[in-house]
Amino acid sequence: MSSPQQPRQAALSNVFYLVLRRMRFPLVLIVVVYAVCVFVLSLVPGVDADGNPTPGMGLFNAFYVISYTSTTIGFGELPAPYSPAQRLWMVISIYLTVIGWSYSIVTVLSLVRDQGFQSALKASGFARRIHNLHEPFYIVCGCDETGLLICHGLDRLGLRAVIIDLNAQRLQELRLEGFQADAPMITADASQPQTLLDAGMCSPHCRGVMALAAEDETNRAIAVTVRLLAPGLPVLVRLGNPLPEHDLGVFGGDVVINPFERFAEHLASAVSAPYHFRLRELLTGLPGDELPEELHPPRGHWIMCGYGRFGHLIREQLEGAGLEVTVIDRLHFGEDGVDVQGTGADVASLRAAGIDHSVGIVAGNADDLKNLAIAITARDLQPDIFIVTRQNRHSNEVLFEAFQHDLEMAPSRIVAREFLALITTPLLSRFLSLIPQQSDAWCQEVFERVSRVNRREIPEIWSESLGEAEAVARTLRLNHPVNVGNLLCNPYDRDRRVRAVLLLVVRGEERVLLPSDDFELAAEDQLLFAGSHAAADHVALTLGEQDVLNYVRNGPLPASGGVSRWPKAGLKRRS
Amino acid sequence: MNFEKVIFGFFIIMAATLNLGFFLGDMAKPEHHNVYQFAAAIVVSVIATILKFGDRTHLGAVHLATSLVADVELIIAALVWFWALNISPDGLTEAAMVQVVSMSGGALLANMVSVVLMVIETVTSRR
Repeated sequence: MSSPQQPRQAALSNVFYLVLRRMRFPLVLIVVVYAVCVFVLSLVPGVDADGNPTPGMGLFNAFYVISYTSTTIGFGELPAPYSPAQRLWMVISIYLTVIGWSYSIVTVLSLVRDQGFQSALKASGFARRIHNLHEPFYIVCGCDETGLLICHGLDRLGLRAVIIDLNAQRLQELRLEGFQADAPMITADASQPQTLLDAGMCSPHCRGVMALAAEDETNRAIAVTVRLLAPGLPVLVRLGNPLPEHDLGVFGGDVVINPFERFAEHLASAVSAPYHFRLRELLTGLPGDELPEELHPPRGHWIMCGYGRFGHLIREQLEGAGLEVTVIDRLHFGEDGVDVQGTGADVASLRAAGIDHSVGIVAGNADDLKNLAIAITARDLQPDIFIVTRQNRHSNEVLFEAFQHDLEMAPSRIVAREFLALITTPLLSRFLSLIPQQSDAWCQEVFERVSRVNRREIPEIWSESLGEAEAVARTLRLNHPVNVGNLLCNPYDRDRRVRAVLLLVVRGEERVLLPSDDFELAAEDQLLFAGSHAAADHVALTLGEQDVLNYVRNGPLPASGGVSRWPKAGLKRRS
Repeated sequence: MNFEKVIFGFFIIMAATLNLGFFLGDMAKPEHHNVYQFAAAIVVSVIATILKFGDRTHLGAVHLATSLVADVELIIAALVWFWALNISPDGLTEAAMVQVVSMSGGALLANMVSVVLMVIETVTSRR
C-alpha cells in the first residue's frame, strides 16, 4: 500500500481489463463468423472457363477472399471467376461478416459511453497525473468557498493542490478558475481511504491534507485515514461542531479549526485588542499583499444582530473583552440572552436596542443580504457607528466592497488563511498561540517591526531547523557560539542587516519570542522568520555555507584565504 | 452452474482434443493429417485465447500465456505448410510435414498445460 506506484497501476489496468472483458464476445463472434465463411467457401465447388466444375478453392484462398471481402476492400472474384454456388455463399458471407464487425464496433462505442468505463478512464488519468507530479503538493478535500480560497492561496505560493470533491458540477466550475498551475481534480468521496490513496496521500511529495468537506463526519474520516495510513503527514480539519473528548483523542496534535469560533475570536480581538488582530492578519496573509489596514474599533455599547451558534460565541467574546452587548434576533427571541425581538434590518428594532448610544454593530447572520440590510439601516440611523459585517459567500464580494463597512469578516477567508499559514509553516501556529498572552502594545511593536521588512507589504514567513543547516550544525558541534545577530547579517556585507525578523526560537519545550541579537543558538533550535524574499535566500546561505557563516561571525578572512574562497560561495548561490 | 465456465471449459478441452487429433498418426505422412481438422484447431485455439482476456488473477495470466503459445505455434505450422505446398520448389516433402506436425505437437503441450490449469482451478475452488 505504501508504494505510490500501486494506485496508478491499478487504475490503468482497470481500464485495460474493462475493455478486454467487454471485447470477449464480439471477438469470439468475429472469429466464428470468419471460420464458418472460410470453411464453407473452401469447399464450395468452382467452375473453370469452359463451364466444367472444379474442386473448392482451398482453405488459404478462401481465407484470402473472406479477409478482403469482410473488410469491404473487395478485389473481385479471385483466384478465378466464381461458380453460382460460390457467389451464393459469398453473398451470405458478406452479410455475416458485416454484422460481425458492426456488432463489435457498436460494443466498443457503447463501452466508451458507459458510465463505469468513463469513471475508470478518469480515475486512470487522475492517477497518472498524480504519479507524474514531482513537486510538493497538498490534498484539498472539499472545495467550497474555503477550499477555493485555499487553492488560490496555494497557487499564489507556487504550491500544487490536488482537489477532491463530491460535486462534479463544482469541479467543472473550478476548471474555469484559471489557476497558474493545473490542479488535478477528481469527483470522489474523500472519506473512502482509496480516494485519498489515489490522490497521492502516500506519495513522498505530499505535504499535507486539508479536510474541508461540508460534513464533519467526512472530515473526521479523512483525519483518521491520514493518521493511520500516512502517519506524520499534517492534516488540518475543519469541524463545525467539534466533540472535545472524541476529536482530541483522534487528532492528537493536528489542528482542528472551528470556523465560527475562530471568527468570534477574531472579531473580539479586533474590537478589544486591534493590534493582536492586525498582527495575526499580517502573519497569516499572503506574501506581497497589502498590509492589513489600521482599525480603531470603539469601546462602549455594541449591538449584535443574529444569535445563532455564531452569535453566542461573539457575544461571549465581546463581553469577555469588557464590552456591553445588546442582542437582536427574531427566531431565538425568548431565549436567555436575546434582548430585542427583530431582524436588525428595521428601524424599530435597532432603536429598541439603543442604536443612538451604540458605538458598534455586528451584522452576523448566515444571510449576506440580511447583513447588508442591517448595515445600511444602521448607518442611516447612526452615521458614525462602527460596522462589522459577516460575509458568507465569496460570490457576494462585490456587494460588500460597494458598502463602506469598517470591518468585513468572511469565515471562509479566516479558515483559508489560517489553514494555509499553518500547513505551509507549522511553526507559525506555535507563534500564533503565544500572541494572546501578550499585551496589545507588544503586538503593535512586533507589527511595526515585521511590516517594515518587506516594503510595507505582507512578508514571507518561513522556518528553519538548525539541525538541517550544515554550516551552523558543524560550527555548534565545535562549540563555537552562533547568535541570532550572526544569522541576520547580510552575507555580502556583515555591517548591514538582512530585511528579516526572527520571530520565534523553539528549543524542546522552551519558546523564545523575538530573541535579541546576542541570543545564543543551540543545535536543536527551530527558528521562525518573517522577511523579504531576498532575506530568505540570505539566511539560507548563512545557515548552509561554512565560509559565509565564518564571515558573518568573524569578519573577512586574512587576504590569502579570502580571495580564493569568497567567489565560491557567490557562485554556489547563483547556481 | 456458471454458464461462462461451461463455455470456457468447452473451448479449452476442444482446443486440446482437436490438436491431439491432428497430431496423432505418422508424422511424415500428409494423408494422416487433415487440413480441416488443423484449421478447426487454430480457430478453437484463438477463441479460447479470447475467452481468457480480461482475467486479472495470476492463474488467468498463465492461462492467457499458454493459449498464446498454442496460437503462435499453430500459426507457424500453418505458414510452414502453406510455404511447402505453394512456394517451395520441392513441394510438400517429408521433412516439411514432420515440421508442421511437430509444431502442432508443441501447441498440444501448451494446450495440455491449459487443461491442467483448468483442472487445478476447478479442484481448488471451494464450491
